[in-house]
Amino acid sequence: MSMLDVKYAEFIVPAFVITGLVFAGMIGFSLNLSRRWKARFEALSRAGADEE
Amino acid sequence: MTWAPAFLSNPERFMAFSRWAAPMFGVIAALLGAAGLYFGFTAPEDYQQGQTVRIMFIHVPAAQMSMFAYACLGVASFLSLIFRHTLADCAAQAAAPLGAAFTFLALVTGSLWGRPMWGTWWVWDGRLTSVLVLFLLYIAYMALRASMDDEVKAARAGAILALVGSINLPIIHYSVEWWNSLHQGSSIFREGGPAMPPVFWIPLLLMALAYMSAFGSLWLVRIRGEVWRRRAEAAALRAARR
Repeated sequence: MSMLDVKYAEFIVPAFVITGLVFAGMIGFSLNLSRRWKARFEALSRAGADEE
Repeated sequence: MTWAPAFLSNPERFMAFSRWAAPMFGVIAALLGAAGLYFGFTAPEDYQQGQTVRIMFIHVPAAQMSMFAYACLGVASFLSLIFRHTLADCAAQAAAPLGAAFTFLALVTGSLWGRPMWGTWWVWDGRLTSVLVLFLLYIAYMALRASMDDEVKAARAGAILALVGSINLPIIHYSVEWWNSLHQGSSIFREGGPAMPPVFWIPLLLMALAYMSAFGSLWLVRIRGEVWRRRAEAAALRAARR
């Protein structure tokens, strides 16, 4: 019997799906934030070093 | 607790530590989460709640983390306000979106659990309303920070808001004792031990630890991002002056 067939599946399945999506969002946004700013800092540092 | 301010006082040491600690906590979270979900889905139905008891394994840890993240925000804000420490401010700023996400999860999964069990999606009782206030505090903190260009003023205003808002944490915790509520009281940390058998509290504990590790990992990643952002903005300023 799958989780979709159980009683109250219409409440259980969305709860787990929404949790999965929110976790995916937290992971994606957090990694993106860190990588984006690290890359920006490194690009600016390289540009600064080239000018000097 | 003398190690914490000393540790926070050195961004280089923090960056070196978080470089390996963030992925390590992430792996621990994934392993604990997988075990928690396995034991959660193989546990028997609850005799009263049936299959909906499985929502407990994602709702309760989210609710705990919503409060824990705010406690982290409060402590970091306090350190930022008193010691004017940049890394503490980074930690406060990084905790807010994660806390908001966990609070959102607690509200949504609680509502999805409440509808079949209580017969309603929402009631304006002490517990639910105080958690909604917590969510609004996170939103207000982020909005306040985003609305100010001056980083120092934004840090101070945000820290004051976070510290004033921390009064909501004991209100959330004791709301089910102070006021009549559809929401049940504490089932795990109470006198006489857990109010549920090991087949339920073991997966719940695993999931709680998984959520805690996930928060630890993501918090470190976000603090690192905030440090990189400030370094990049400082580098951009230096470049503009040349």
